[in-house]
Amino acid sequence: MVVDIGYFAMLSAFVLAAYAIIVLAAGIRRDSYNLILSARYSSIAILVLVGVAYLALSYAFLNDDFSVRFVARNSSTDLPGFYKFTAVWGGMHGSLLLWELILAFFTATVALRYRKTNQEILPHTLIVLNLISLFLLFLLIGWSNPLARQYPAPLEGNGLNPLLQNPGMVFHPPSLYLGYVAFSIPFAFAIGSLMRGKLDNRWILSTRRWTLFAWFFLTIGMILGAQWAYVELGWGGYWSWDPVENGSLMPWLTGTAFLHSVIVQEKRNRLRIWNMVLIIATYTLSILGTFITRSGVLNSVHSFAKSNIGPAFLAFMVVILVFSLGLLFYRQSLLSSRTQTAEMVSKENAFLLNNIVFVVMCFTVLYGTVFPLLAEGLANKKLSIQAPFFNTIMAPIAILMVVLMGITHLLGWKKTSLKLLARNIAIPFILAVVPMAVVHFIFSPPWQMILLGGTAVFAGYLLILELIRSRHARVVSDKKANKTVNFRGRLLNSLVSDGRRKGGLIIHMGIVAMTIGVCGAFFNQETAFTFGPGQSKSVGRYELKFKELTEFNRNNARNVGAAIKVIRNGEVLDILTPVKSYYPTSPQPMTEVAIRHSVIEDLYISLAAINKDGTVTLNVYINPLVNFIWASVIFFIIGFVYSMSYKPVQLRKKRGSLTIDDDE
Amino acid sequence: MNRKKLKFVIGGILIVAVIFGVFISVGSDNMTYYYTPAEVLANPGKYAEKRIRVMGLIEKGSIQWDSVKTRLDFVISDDSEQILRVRYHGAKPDMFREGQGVVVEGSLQEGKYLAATVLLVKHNEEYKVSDHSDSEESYLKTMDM
Repeated sequence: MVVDIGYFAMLSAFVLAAYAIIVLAAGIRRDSYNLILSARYSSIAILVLVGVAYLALSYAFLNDDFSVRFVARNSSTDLPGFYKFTAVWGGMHGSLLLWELILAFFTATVALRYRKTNQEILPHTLIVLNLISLFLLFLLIGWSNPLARQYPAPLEGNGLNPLLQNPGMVFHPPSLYLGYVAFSIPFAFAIGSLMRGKLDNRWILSTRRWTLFAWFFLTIGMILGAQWAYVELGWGGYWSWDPVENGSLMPWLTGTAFLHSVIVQEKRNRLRIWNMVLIIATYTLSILGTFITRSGVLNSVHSFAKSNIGPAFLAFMVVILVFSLGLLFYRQSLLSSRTQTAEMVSKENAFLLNNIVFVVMCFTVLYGTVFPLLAEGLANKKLSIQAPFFNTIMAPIAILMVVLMGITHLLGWKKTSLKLLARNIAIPFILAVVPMAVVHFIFSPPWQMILLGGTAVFAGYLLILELIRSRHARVVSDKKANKTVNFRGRLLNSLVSDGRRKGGLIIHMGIVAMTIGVCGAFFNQETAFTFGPGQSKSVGRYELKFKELTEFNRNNARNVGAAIKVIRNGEVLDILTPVKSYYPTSPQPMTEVAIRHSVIEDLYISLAAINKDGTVTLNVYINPLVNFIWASVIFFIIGFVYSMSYKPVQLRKKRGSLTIDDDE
Repeated sequence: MNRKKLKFVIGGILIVAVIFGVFISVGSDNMTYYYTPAEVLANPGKYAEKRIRVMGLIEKGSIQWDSVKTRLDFVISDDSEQILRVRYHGAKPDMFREGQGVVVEGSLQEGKYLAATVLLVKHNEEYKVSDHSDSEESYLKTMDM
């Protein structure tokens, strides 16, 4: 019953989305406020209906309603309740529904929030969003229906993939979806303004925070995914240039370029066509990422099995690309920016270089991901491009990126005093060279590591100095205004003021942390061996002693493991127990690794095999500095909060008024 | 087209050409082709000292696991009944067993066996987040990593 209501709700939402598009088009043509109002309200109705469908599916999961095929395939009675709730996005159909739910929520938000400030382009923007919604709902009521029934209903479900029964995995997909879907808002605004032909900078200002939001969740989603791969897949790493990973990295790269280049448009009114291209590329690549994940054309741990919605996504992507670029071409004359001169060394040019860096990175990933596909499709050659391809090309570009990241903060718009710049970077430069020289002489790692590490340290110093300076700025401006502020007020002011600048600096410090973490990978050690109870083996600075085999139950799995004593300098640091987990729903065990974390390095043990003679075979990895990567999340969260607190000046002043001129 | 624009266009084309040149040269160094055991055995000389990927199914009764040396010896085959011996150093993956589809990567030694450094095992259907079961063949066709 509940399930039928859910399906009916999806059908109604589909009809309503079509209705909204027609009404919006009519409203634009007749300039009718009422028609547009009706469409705006229908976005709220769509949100409610999709919400009902989502709840119906959750209800089916929680009640083990195996007459719903999707539930039977992705759940079982023994699954812990929490995972039953999250299993909704454990498979393709349900995750599509989650996607649509987020989109419906964002669309409703846009419909309500921007009714005054973006009156002219709002109807066009809503058409774009409703078209995307229509496409997703079309899949959901047909090919990819998560509420489809099957008779007779099985007594037990297939169970949720044990790999997905992990807290990191629970939040990895929704976070990515939040990011992907949020990028559709600036995209819809961009296309909306192209359709309307109103091409001032308003869409940039209005969607600034949506873009930040999208970037943040995409970043967090990818880190969660990397973290999940690290603890769950047992090969000791977190990134393997797998096609699906690349699929999420590509929109991230263009999205990051967009995030930076819109600032140039906002401040200097340049790069207006380029920004359109970037947001179109970002959205298209996020659809490509979905296509790669959903279609099964490329096999990886992430892919859902083959299905017929792959071609639908491909077609959707082509339509979006052709339509958007056609529209952009048609409107290009409205987008010509007056050329504003800037000196060679200026913020504008640094941003420009930043954009080139990100776009080249994106092309690298695109080439490495798509080339094998093309080779197979066109020349019938089956091949794979290996990680060294990406590493070789990305490393030097990444070094350039990190340098730029540090220096750009010091540059001024239009022009920069080179003398001042030299003075500002001299000390950080020396402070970065010295430790890297030491590293070079002690460890003699590859040059990429030295340069990447050196630039990360260099950028880190600059960012910290800037952060200190941004605190001073407020104090100085208060003094100038003759404001007397007590100490606590000053402290508070220096903490909350200038959120945009602080946010940017702190997020960039997260990138520095991440870069340092990546540098650690140059020193990774890996070994595999077999030993029996009572025996020990030394790995790196540690001595591993096999204590005994143990057996215990955890959640719905039976675990058999090896208790390993970790000894350093005769002192027992820890007992690690890597295990094999036997889930009732799967015939083969899963390997659960055991990790000893420390700031300097992780000791990572994976139980490869328990042999018949009572010995165990272990894979042992030592991963230096890897925790810096996970720690970067803290910077991203703090920086994100700061950045979101900033509202563009142009919007702040004139909030609530109906006609807004831009700063052109 | 004025001269300034022309400069930009030529510069742009040059940059793109250089980038693709780098892609192609680095790419071809790090590219491995997929073959079947039959293809490899038909012409072993051709594949000597080259990194290749071979796809096949693990033959029944061929698995020899030396836990002390962490060495795995097995035989893979395809439809043509041709068999290829594989020697892999490292731990035995979770899903590794007879009849499973695998992809091995390595180089052919003495024209006889493949010394593999990479061993990828097809995951079982139940493990996939799958709504459609796909057959062995279609899996092998789409396998890529």
